[in-house]
Amino acid sequence: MKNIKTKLGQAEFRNPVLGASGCTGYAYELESYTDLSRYGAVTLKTVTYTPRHGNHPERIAEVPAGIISSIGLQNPGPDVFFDDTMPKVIDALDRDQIIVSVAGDTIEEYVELCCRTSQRYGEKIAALEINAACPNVRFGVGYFSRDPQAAFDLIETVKSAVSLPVFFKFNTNFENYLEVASAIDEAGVDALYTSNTPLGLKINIRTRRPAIGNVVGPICGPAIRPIGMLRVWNLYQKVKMPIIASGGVYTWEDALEYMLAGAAAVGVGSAQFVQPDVVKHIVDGLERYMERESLDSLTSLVGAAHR
Amino acid sequence: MLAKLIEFRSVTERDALYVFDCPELARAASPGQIVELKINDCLDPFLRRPLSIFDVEGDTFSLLVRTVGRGTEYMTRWKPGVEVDVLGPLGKGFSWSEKEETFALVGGGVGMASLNFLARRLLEQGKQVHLLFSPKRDSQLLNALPQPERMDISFAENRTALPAALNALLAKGIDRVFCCGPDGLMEIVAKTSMANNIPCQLSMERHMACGIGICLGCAIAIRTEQGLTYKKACKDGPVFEAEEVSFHEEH
Repeated sequence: MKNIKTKLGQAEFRNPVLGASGCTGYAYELESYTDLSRYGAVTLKTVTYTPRHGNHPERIAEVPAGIISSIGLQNPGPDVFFDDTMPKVIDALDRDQIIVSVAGDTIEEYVELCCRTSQRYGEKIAALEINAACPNVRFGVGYFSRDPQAAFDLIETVKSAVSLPVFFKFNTNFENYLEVASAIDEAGVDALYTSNTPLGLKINIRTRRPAIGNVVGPICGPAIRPIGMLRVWNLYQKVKMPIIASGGVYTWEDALEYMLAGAAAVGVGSAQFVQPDVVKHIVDGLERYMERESLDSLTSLVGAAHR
Repeated sequence: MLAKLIEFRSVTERDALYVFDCPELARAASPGQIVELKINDCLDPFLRRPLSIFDVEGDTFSLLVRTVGRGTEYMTRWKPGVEVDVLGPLGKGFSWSEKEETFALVGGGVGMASLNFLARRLLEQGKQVHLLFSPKRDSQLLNALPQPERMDISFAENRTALPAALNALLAKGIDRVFCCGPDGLMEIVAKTSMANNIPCQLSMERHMACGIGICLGCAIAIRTEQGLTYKKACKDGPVFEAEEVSFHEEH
């Protein structure tokens, strides 16, 4: 019996292919374009402690095999998210498919968001994602991703406050990302979500100005996949917790490559902007691959390239 | 879904008309909506190209496309018979009430692309259509219109001459204005229409990625009672009421 189920710490998913936060909306927008039941899970667009209008346009610029995007975490804030958005999400996805992503400026803000989510929807979601890859107004960009002690304290406090599985999404653009990853591992999360989005720039040669309003922005798409691969490779050697890899996954082969490098699951991002049903195709492809290779599960392949 | 290119025709040196056979899309489309075309099977260009529906006739839809970059350049190499991956129809198009009888359509350059289908629907309902086109030097674009004789067509030399030309048109008794063109032109049309207390809708353009509301890339600054907010050109638009669009204020 083929089994594509994937365990990430205490959380179990129907398959290892997740919709990445910020690239999958709230999932229900995709309902008429794909079969949502084929998603392992969807990490919803991050909800921040206060509403955010997002960055001023242009927000998207195309680069070879990808985009530079600078959205600025536009979201309506927790009140609207809990009252209006979540009921629609619950209609569109099953419990085991919903990961709520939160971001704050301080540990207290993260904890409050996690507790509110847990109290209101704890029985109806699979896991929480602490988004520490986002901008931080109070302590500077990526504070909880570049300071090992800050990351440790954040996780420890959240874990003691909620019983839901917790994933930690961090920014690997800092030189000490392996040191931070060790601290995250020690603090104990259910999975580490790697955010493999190096910064880039595009100039519009007609206007002679930067192509996006925020000047610089993260590069997403297949263009950066080899960078993501190396980060996952290094992280796998450093930490014990399961790794969810994102960065340029477009096909089942890409997902498999990340798994061989050490990812237990993958997040699909900007590929969905081009093919809204891409996750379904990736899962179909992995299942066909298992059939062809007579594999009962994909677990044995996680990190296989290291052995 | 797949759309089969059945006709390709140059309209100007840099604009071409593409006609596709695609019954499902053609039957569902309404004026002002867009489609997202996949340019090729490779990763470059990476994104689909969002394009206004220029016309719908029976099982076919057409696009009037200006060659402005890699994606649209690639499109000019398509030959009739090619099957293209298309998403659509997408977004919220133009709207009007049955009671309104006389309409001004203001097209700025290749912004014309979203107005022809609208004109067709209005004419089918027996409405009067006045088309004001700017700038006059680009009027060759009107060669793409399938039924120009059924519209009253006038021109503005350029953007400076536009307010006077539009005022003259509005003085004829216009129930509603529809506009598509560069932001600068649309701002003039919005202001002039509002000054005359005539409702006006604008078809806005932004760099767009997904086209279905998941990326929040195509943000348009919109005035609401709670202040300024960003809405999605792909899903909340591309057509917005003139008074809600903010051309300069940003957060």
